[in-house]
Amino acid sequence: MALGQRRYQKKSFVIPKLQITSMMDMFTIILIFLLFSFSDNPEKLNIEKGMMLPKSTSQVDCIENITVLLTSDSLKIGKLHIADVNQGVIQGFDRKHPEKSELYKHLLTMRHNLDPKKNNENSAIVIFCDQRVPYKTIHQVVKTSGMAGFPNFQFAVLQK
Amino acid sequence: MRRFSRKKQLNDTDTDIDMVPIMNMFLVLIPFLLSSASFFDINAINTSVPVRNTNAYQENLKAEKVEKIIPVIEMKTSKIELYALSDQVKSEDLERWDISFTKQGGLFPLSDLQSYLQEMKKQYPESDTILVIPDDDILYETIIQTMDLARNATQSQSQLFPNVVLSDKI
Repeated sequence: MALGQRRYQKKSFVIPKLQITSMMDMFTIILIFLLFSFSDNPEKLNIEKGMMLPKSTSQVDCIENITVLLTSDSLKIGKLHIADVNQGVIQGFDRKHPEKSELYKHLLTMRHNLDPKKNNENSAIVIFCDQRVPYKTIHQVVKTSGMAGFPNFQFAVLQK
Repeated sequence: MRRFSRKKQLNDTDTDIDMVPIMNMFLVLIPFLLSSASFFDINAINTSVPVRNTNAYQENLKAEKVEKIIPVIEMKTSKIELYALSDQVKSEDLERWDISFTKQGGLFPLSDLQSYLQEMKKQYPESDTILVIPDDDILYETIIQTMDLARNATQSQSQLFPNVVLSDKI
């Protein structure tokens, strides 16, 4: 009796077929989406949380260089915090003497540290700036970077 | 006939396509594409601040016979003032271009400004530089919009003034 039961159980066992059609569909959709968003120059730039970049029609690529991040409450060079910004005024920044500011000192050091073998005449600063920041704040950064030897710069924007 | 259809039925067995290699390929492709995907396109606008002219530059400018102008956009809180600067064009001719665009409904009439810039470009096609002087309170977004229209013509793909210089009041 027991032998008969076991025989019956053995017969009824069927290897289950794995239904991968839906999984294939999902993978195909993901693959197509990723192929569309493929970039040969993936962004390695850290954008501040809450920063809103303006939209532009510009098609120029960002060069990987010195990045200055300017939001309504802080100023950074890369990941280095330089100063707080309060109501459009960079703390510790004297408009009449930008050369005394921390920003100027850091940029000047970076300018000196640039590889002299390379052509540094066109070296530019990339400015990531929140779209709600007024010009008086941007101007302080732009003017100081010009004084520190970076007259050319790029404004980072999102593609329209 | 019946025999034939029965034979056909016997031959029509379900053939399972082996999807495992395709799945393997997907599993390799997806992490690769994920690592190189950019979910937001960051571009850049090339700008500069005014720099002091060298003697060589001034000599080159004198040697050039082509007339060039530098349009200046002064962005004020309530209006945009536009005028032109040039070392090669007479001041009477430059004064013709003086104009101001008052804000309409809280917005700058940027399309009017652009069509005016197109006229300037048509008159002086060799000009490629524009000066933008915003007031302290002008927001960055508005400056970018103005720079965009100063660089590109709307109707054609041609460029208006590709070199945008951001400046303080001269």
